[in-house]
Amino acid sequence: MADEALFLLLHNEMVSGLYKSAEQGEVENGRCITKLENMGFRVGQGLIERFTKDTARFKDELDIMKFICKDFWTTVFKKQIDNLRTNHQGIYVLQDNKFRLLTQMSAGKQYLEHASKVNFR
Amino acid sequence: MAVCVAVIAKENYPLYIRSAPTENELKFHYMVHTSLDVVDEKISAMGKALVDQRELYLGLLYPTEDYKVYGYVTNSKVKFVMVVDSSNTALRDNEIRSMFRKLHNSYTDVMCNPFYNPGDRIQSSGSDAAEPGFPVITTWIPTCEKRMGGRPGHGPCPLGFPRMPRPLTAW
Repeated sequence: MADEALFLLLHNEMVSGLYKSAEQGEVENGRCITKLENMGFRVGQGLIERFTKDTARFKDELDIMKFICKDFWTTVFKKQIDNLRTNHQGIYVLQDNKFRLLTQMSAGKQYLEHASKVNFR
Repeated sequence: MAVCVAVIAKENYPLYIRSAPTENELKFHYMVHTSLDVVDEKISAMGKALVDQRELYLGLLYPTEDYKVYGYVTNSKVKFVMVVDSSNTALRDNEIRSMFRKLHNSYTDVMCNPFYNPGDRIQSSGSDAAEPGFPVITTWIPTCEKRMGGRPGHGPCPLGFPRMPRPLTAW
């Protein structure tokens, strides 16, 4: 669908635009990553409020993780999480083998470090 | 009629609290504060039989001789508390639910507002002079006004009491 490509291009532009503007100002790479993380966090907060408005109340952490891996991921990325691991002490690792925001990128080594910036977002 | 509405954040501090100015507002603030304990009890997993249906609406929290307190919790652990006058003909459960529903919708809109920082006080432009850019948390007023038979849009009071002799005090 056309709107997927639109969002993808806009998203990638946002990441590279933020990095370019940082190069002119201060040279700290860490600040960019923090800014990207905060943007993503804020967008996620709004999305979650909308999605959980009609769902049942979550009883425990497992419910929350199931919601994220299935419903949330399906609504945003149109597929479910492929692998979920936990150490039963509060750490969860979510694995997505075909992350939608990265599939359109070429699979060479040239821009490997930049791909991780997109991933943060 | 609802005499006090409060939106309380996950860390149990108020994001928005508004009560009818005809009475001692401190009393309502105190009632909302004490009802938080009841809310916590209902949502904890220990009380297994209390609210077992996994609903967001918590129902009547506790009744006093003059007022009844109703609660509602969102999935992000934000609580809505409403204090209602008992002397009125008993409001049906469905009406309270729909009032909470509208409040939830308005709160979701506030969260999606990019100019709103989560954790800040919520300003409602339905009451005192508000800054532009903050959405109005007064969409549930039409329900109240219809029941009261009041005139919509009359006076600045967000609770819709028609016999307001003075404007709301600034917050």
